[in-house]
Amino acid sequence: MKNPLFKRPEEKLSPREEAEITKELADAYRQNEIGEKRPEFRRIVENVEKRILKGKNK
Amino acid sequence: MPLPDTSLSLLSQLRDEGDHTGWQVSWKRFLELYHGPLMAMAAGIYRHHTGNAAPPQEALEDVVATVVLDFLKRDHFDPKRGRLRTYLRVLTNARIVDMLRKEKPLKHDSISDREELVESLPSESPEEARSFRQALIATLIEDLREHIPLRQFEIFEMVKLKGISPDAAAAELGVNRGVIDNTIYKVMIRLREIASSPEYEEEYEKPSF
Repeated sequence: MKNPLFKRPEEKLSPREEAEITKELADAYRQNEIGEKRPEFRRIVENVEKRILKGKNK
Repeated sequence: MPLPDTSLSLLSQLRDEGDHTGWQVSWKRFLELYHGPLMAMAAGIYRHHTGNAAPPQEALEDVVATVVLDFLKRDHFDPKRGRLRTYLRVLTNARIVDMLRKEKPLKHDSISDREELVESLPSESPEEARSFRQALIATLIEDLREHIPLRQFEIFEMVKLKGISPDAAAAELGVNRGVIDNTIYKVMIRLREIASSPEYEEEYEKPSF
C-alpha cells in the first residue's frame, strides 16, 4: 500500500492517513533530536573535524 | 514561493563546496540526519563479512566518519541517477572491507576481491531500513523548513512535530485558532508537494537488492 505521504498533493487524504503522516513526521523529528544528543554522534563529529583539520594542515 | 528545483535538495546543497562556510555547517547537518542509518548499515555489513561477529563500536564510528568524508568529497552521487541509500551502502561496504583487511577478519580467506564483495552486499536489515526512512523523513522536514516562512514552520513544528494542540499553540503564539489551522493546511500541502518528487518515494521504498 502506498505511503500516504507520497500520494499526489491534489489527492484528498482520509483522517487515518493524515494521522499516519503526522505520526511518521513526529517520530522522525523525535529520533533526529535524540540522535543529535547521542555520544556516538559527538564522537563521529570530532573524528570528521580532526580529519578536515589534518587535511588543511598538510 | 517557488518549489525547490530538485528533490532531496538539501542533499544537493550539502555537497556545495563552493561556499566553504556553508559546507562546514552542512556536513554536520548531514551527519545529524544520517549517522543513525550509517551506523546501522556499517554494523550489518560488518556482521555479514565476519560471520556475524559483534562489530566494535569505535571502528564503526571511524568507518562512518570516513563514509561522510567520502560522500562530501566525491562528485558521483546524483539523485536523478541513483538512490542515496544504495550509494551510501556501497561506500560503507568498501570502507568496512578496507577495515577488515587491516584487521585480519574472521573470514579473511573469503575477502579476496573487492568487486566480489560489492556484489555480495548484504540485504538491508529491518533496523537499517527503519533508520534510513526516518532520516529521509527528517531530510524532507529540513527541505520544507527551507521553503516556507519561518513563522509557518514554527507553527508546523509545534503542532505536527512536537504534538502541541492547535489551541495551545494559538494561545502560546497569541493568534486565533483559525490562523493555526490555516497555516497547518498550507504547510501540509507544501510538504506533500516537496515529497511528491519521485526521488523521495524511490528512496523511501525498500531497495531491490
